[in-house]
Amino acid sequence: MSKSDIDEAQLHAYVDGQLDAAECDRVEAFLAENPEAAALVAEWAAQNAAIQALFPAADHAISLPFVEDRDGAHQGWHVPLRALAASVAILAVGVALGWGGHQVLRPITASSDVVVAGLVDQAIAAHVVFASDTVRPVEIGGQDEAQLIKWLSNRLGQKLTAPDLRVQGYELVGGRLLSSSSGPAAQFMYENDAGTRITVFASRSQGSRMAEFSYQRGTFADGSKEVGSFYWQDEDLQYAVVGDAPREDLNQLAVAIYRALS
Amino acid sequence: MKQFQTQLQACLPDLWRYAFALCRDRTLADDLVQDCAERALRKQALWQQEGALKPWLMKLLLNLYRNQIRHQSRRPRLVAMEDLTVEPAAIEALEGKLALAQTARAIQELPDDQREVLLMVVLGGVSYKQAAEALDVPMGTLMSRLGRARAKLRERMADTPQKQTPQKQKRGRR
Repeated sequence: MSKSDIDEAQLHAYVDGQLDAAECDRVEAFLAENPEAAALVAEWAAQNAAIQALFPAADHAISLPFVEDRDGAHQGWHVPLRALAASVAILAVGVALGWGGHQVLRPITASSDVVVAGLVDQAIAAHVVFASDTVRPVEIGGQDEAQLIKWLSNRLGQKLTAPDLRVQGYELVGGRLLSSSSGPAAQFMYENDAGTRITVFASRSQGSRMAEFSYQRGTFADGSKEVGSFYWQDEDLQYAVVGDAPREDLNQLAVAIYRALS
Repeated sequence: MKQFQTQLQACLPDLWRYAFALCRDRTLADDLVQDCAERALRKQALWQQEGALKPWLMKLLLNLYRNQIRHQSRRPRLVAMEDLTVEPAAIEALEGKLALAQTARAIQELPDDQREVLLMVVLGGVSYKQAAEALDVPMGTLMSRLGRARAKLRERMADTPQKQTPQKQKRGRR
């Protein structure tokens, strides 16, 4: 069988299940003789699997909406119900903001974004205050790392580590103890050659929620500078990585830190 | 009329999945599919009985998305990791989750036209011909966008840092 009778379009079609049995056989015979094409097809199939895992089917039944009949007769409560639902949602958000995202409201607000946002705000605020401090940015310097870790771990009641970010070009400057709405918190500060500082904020988790990972931007109080922040939490601790580095760099750092701590 | 509703109903799960992938938000996906179905019910007289219903619905959905949602879903938002729906039972699963997050970002960075094609082909449950119809492009364009999307994803995934054993990395400094 000649190579030329299978083209790239057919390989795509094979991966996407668009071929009939006979065509599949032909492509498979071709792939058996062409390891490079087979590797490519395997990668595409892995991409498909990832996309399917990322976006699973709805876990709820999807019902048809009600619409007006042709003769204009109104089928009633569809619009009012939607409007009602919207006003309930607005109320829920209002209440959630007013009460600082009280636990009870979680099902209504669909996630604990309010709580998360509060923590991230505190991490950003602490970053803004201490990262710009040239005289005494940290309480204990990176040269006394063991002492720093021991002290902060004791205060948080949870074993901490300062992730090694030298591969990413960041040296540990040191750390300090902070107070946060969820109790004592630790802040580790890092600096690269260019003098860019990032901070890693850690405090105890409330409840044992599964890991999540999110990104948020905030602004310096005077609006002079924007900082980005990655937030995640595991069973024991919640973390935020804050810095005025570009999102992609911060992302790389956050992933490195996440891996080092997991 | 009844038949139309039955067919429409049968298409809703795939429509929802495509909508979810486009806007990465379950609530937005719900709204988008409801809007789309509502419009389809109102405009069913316009539907040509000979053709398959799904490409027509996909086209409606896509137009709604382009008009209403795309700008909103571009804004940086807090996206909970739990929306990525893989059970993080073990560290291995967390690693897998990160790889998925990386894939999600790579998909997000694709140009709109390539992303729309790739997601429709993978999640829409349509033939290439139907996808081309829904997206209003010739078959050749569909295939080249699909090819470019997949090549770009490969490129992005090749940039992913190599998996490291967490323990090793953690104390490797000393």
